[in-house]
Amino acid sequence: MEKQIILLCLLLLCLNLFAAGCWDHIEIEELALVRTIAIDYLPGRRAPYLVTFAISLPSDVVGGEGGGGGAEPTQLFSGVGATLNLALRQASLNLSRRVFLSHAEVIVIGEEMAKHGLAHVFDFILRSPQIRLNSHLVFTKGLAQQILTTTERLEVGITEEIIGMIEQSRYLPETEPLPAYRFLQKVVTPGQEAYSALLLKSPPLEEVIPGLEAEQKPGGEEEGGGGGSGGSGQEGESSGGGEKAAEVLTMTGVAAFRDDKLAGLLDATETRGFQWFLGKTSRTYLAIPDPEQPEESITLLVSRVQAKIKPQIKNGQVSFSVEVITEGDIRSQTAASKLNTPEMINKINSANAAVIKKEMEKSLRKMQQLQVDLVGFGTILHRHEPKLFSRLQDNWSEQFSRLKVEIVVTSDVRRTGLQSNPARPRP
Amino acid sequence: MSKRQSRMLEKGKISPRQAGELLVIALNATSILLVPSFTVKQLGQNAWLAVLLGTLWGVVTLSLVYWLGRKHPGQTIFQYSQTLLGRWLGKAVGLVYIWNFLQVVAIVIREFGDFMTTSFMPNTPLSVFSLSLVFLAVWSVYAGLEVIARMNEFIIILVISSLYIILLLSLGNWDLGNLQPLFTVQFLPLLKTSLVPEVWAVDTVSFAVIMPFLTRPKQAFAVGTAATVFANGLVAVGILALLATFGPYFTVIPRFPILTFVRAINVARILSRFEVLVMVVWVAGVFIKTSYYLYCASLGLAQITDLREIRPVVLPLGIIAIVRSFSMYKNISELETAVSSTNPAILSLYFGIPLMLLLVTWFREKFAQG
Repeated sequence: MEKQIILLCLLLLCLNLFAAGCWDHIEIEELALVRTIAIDYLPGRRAPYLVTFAISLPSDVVGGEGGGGGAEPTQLFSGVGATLNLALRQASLNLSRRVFLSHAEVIVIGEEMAKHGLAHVFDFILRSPQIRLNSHLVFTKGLAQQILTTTERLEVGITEEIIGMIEQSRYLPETEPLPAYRFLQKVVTPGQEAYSALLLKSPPLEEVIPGLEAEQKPGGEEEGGGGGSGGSGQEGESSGGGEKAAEVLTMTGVAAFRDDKLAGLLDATETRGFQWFLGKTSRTYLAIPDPEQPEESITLLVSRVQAKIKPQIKNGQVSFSVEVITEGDIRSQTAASKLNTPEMINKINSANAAVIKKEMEKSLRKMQQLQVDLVGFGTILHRHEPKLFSRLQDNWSEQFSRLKVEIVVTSDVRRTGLQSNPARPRP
Repeated sequence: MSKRQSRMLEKGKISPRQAGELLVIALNATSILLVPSFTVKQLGQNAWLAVLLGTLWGVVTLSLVYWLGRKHPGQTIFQYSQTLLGRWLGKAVGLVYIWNFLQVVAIVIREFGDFMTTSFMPNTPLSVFSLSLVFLAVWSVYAGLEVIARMNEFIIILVISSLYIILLLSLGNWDLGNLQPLFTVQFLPLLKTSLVPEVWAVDTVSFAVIMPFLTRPKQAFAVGTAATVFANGLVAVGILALLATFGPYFTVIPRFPILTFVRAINVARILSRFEVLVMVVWVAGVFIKTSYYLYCASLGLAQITDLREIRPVVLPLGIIAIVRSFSMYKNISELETAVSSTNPAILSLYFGIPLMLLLVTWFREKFAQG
């Protein structure tokens, strides 16, 4: 009995050796927790890959605003190399800790990198046991590095700021950041192309709001369906500040890819346009012309969207019919029309359907022009007609650019808010 | 004589339920991690059909060894092969199975080590995993079948509930459209994939060894079938979940799709990083599977060499398995190719030899009557 107890104690002691984690143990104080990775490609160089990463210092994040003169919550490091791994290694020369990528939640990819093709980036992400595939991929114009040098405004650290925008984008169909695995899935699946959100640093207003001239004041009138309700709000705020406007990050639109190469950029309205096809536009605001006074607008909040895409084959010719069913509430109007009658609501419904259809058609034209099937018409065809699709698969991008798509939109305004009658002076 | 002998070698008894649980773990421990990758590579979105077909082959194997066990009550395959085929030929057949069980141990050890070094601990030498696993297994084989079965009773709760938690949490990532188009596969490739040992529930053959130690051997078939259907059903559901999340084109890209699948789980940014559950399934399951197969091999060797005890052969067999696990494959690609293919030798091992033994039994009975 005693012998057994001694043996047990010895065994427990031995277990201690293993509990520490063998060879791969590392203390958290020795780790540099990378939160955002920015990847750039510098064409024409022998070491073209530029990696910049933002490291959070855990104690500072926890400390929050308490410490006055402490270090910045985020520190940036960068390195260049012939491959991403070598670039990371070079960056490591500047660090006092070991680079640890498991906590990276955002990967920002620069314009040149996206144009060059993402094969190496994918390989890097998939092969490493550290990088997590549910971290989000976002793209930018110009260098990705400059996104990280932006000063954060609401959160502690630039990564938290970007993650906040990614979270927020669930309510904003004007942009769509995808986790890396979703993006990769779209790249490798035939009959659809990949896209992910575009993150811009202090973009000129006319880039965020289509149709807005540069000399017009912020908050001026919007055209057509009404553009980026997401990013534009912050602009007005910052322009009132001092002489030097603060840097602003704006997440708007998407970068569209053909295979793994950047094919073009879609602005906020075009992005929402293709999101209608996917039924992902609930909680969007739409401006529709007032049926009685066409120069005035009514704002609708779309509360529910259903989209059905069906392939139709006639004499070997493929076309698609798309049926979109929306429900919405009236949120405001610029005039003082009486909206609360069944006839008026019917008129609003048809105006709304026309606005949505126009937006979808515009987006479809843009996608067809870029030859990127972001909706995945090809995949839908594959699901319904596998044999037919296997013949078309090889040059699907080209087939897609000539595709006929019939769009039918049904709109149902359900509620008109707390206001029943317009508050207008009696005649 | 042989009856007495088997009782001497194994004093414990296990209930039919425990036997079924052992079979579930033997099947699921490795298949959940390895099967999705290559079946989807070969069959696309119809991979789960192969797993269902494999269940059928598993039950066929099971019914053969079950009837053999019923015809020779109280004997393991190592014993009745000697009664049927004569001393030396019978021992040869026994050796083939011992070698097979040992091979399974070696492959499992290697898979375990490779998985751990690839995904979690890249700097730790392979031998750390192999040695610790095998010494643990040797220790539990010393304790006997009953102890392994009882230990498995709580390990199976860990393993199966981990798998269920993973599946449940992943529901938010599912898109059932990825499973379409259904049934677009030809029969021959489907058949070929279903005959790969990992898909074909070959572990049912181990019932030929443990059946005499069941408290109610008559229930072996029912329990074995239930276990096979449950285990392979879980793998099929796992494949469906993977396909629904990733689609057939992305599923084949990661080395261990189920790990990538678990890493993609992120429920409201709070519930994420469940890799540890994959570790639980893998470490606990592999430990039981290694112990179980090492036990089968050791018992077999002890029986065909007419030993009075199982102990002397356990450690040597464990060491052979370790050495074999290192020398068998040079790199992970060789291992992957071997695990995802089938060959006629496997067909004879899990179908041919049991069928032959059954036929010999049947002829003998006829002959004795006539």
